[in-house]
Amino acid sequence: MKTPATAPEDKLRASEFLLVEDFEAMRTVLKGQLLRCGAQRVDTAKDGREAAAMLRAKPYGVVMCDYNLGPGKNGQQLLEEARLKNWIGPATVWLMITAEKTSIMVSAAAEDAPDDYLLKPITESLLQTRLLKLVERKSAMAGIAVAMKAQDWRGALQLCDEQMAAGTKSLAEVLRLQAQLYQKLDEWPKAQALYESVLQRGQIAWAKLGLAQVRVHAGDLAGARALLQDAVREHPQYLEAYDELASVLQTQGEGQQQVALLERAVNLSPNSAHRQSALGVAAQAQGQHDMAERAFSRAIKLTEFSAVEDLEPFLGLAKLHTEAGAPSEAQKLIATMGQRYDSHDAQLLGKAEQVRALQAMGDKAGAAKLAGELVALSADETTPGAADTAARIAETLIEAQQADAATELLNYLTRNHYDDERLLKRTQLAFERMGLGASGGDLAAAARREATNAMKDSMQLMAAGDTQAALESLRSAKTSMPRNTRVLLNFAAVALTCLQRHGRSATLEAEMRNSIATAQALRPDDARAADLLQQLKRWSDAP
Amino acid sequence: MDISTFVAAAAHDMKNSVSVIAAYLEDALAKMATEPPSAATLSTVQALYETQRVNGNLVQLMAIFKIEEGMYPFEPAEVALDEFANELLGRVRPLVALKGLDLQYDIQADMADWIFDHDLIGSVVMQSLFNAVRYASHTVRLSMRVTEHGLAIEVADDGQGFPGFMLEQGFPSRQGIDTRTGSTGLGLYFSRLAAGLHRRGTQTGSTRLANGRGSTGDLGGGHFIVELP
Repeated sequence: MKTPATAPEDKLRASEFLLVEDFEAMRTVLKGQLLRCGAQRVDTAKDGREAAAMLRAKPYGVVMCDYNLGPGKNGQQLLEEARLKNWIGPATVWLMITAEKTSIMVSAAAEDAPDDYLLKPITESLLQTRLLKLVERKSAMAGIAVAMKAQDWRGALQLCDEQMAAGTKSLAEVLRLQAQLYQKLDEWPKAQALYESVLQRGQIAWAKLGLAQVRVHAGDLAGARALLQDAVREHPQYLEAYDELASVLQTQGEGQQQVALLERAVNLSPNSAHRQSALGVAAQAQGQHDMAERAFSRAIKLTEFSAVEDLEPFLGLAKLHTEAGAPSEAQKLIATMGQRYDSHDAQLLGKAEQVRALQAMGDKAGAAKLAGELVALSADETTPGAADTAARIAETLIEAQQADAATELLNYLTRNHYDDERLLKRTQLAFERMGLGASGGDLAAAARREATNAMKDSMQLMAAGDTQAALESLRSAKTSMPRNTRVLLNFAAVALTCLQRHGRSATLEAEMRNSIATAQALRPDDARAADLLQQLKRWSDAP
Repeated sequence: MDISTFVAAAAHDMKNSVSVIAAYLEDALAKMATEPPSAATLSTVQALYETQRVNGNLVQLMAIFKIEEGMYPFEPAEVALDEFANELLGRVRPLVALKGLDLQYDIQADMADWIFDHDLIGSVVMQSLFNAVRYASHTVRLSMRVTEHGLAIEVADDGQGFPGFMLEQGFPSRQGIDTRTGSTGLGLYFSRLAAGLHRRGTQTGSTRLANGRGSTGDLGGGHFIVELP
């Protein structure tokens, strides 16, 4: 059933407005204009902090926000925080006001961008036209936004098709989303066809970027590079193309070119923290320490008022300080990072840098003790990025001369991820750095043997009707590789068969759920885990 | 420090002030609307018009500065022509009403979206509309149609037309600005620069000036055309 359509004018009247503007005279003028445009309730805030408090307290339908808000957060940072923390909903219109057209207007990634920019001076008629248009479009697109946020790519695609069929007024936006959704759903030929048809009509920057991503996916790095170089030449302010090109250059091993490119991008948009941070990482990898230090310091300053976590500049700069003989400076930075961010990654990676600093200060016992703690902590993590974080910690431990702790962590990682080629390459390199070249390969092979044998055994035992023995075989594999999703899910599958054959067992059911939960935490998009849970539910619901 | 950096920063700041002045004037006008307009109303209209000119000049100065520094965020995107035209017309409408002019809008039926930089071309057409409103006797017309060269956006009026020296000189290059004539040439220089950024295959955007009589879309007075491939 469809709800009766509300005229956009009624939506304006019913909406709560928030106006964020630091310049008092302008605030008065804009508020008057909003009221004359049909708004009835308009709250005002004079800076980012005041606005954040108001956004937290009340759901607003329209936010009109100046980009320059004086000291503290700027309009873009406020928007990112509001989206990140769900202070605003998918139908909220965010209108950014600027005095002039600047690169920020084209440099924000599409998902971070406001719904529209208004250039000052703003006239009443212009404001009203834009508001009506935006409120209408935004509510038409709200369903798609909700589906995308819930990662329901199929549902979002379905809604895009409906928008197209209904003759959407946001054609370009719907097309862009459709292409993105095809990418998410692994339907690359469809994404490619869509980008190509958009490019037939004109030199659209986002379609060039998308097509380059299609080529990267197909392994055609040279083709992607050519396309992106064209995009950068033809749309020199479209900074997302620089980011993608930088990542292609990195994969191709062109570190120097990557640094040069990012330097250009940073000159164009000096206020983008994540780009400064990327430049720092690239420059550090190339041994260009001065440039890395400048970029990291700038990124730290820029993120002071941002809600989005970025650890790289802290970690990179701390390492630079320690290596330059100033480990106490590094410790200060790690402490600041710990105050600013409370994620597990922040805590763990901060500790790893702390090990490096302690070792450099000559506190060998302290460094070794902390390194030992870190191994246990990082092995325990069950997040999708946990293995990569642990590998990175191992690398830092090697550099901080903690070979024992590093080896232990690498052993653990290799055993649990024997089936992850990308991670194995990384651990293999780390083993080689310690002169333990063969260790990684041997370990991985042994783990693979152990897991494969356990799975083969369990299948034979199942076939022979001995489900209990099959379960035992996988349980022992699970004990030895507690973070391997394949082993965990195989165990769950056999446990389910056991339950079905031998009836209820609260302990086994709990153990099964536990295995699935760990596997899901490690790989949230694994379809098999969700499938097993459903089967378990069907079985336990059955009379 | 390079003086142009100061100029750019000051222009940015001035633009904020101009925005507030323009909004106050618009607000005042809304409150003093009487029939027939009083002398105070007419001078407020003139003040608003002058403010818009200052704003237009600042926008163009800043854009030229950025284009030449390679810092302008040039961003061609699909623009819905009807909406685009309505926003521009909305900006001149108060002035048009007070001057008692007839504002016409002529768009070829079923025109699809066109790809160009909305803000850049918007300020080119805007400035030209303000000029037309200033010099028109009775009528100003904005029209859009597709020609063999692409999208033609035209602004025509029924005033005296452009002075001879302007037509002769055409669109000044940076060195060719003639300060003796009282026209800075900024608007024309900017228009050509902005149109020229638009390219498609071998075609490049362009601008033309004409005085009426004879050409399509004219009203007998000044006739400004920007064509985008």
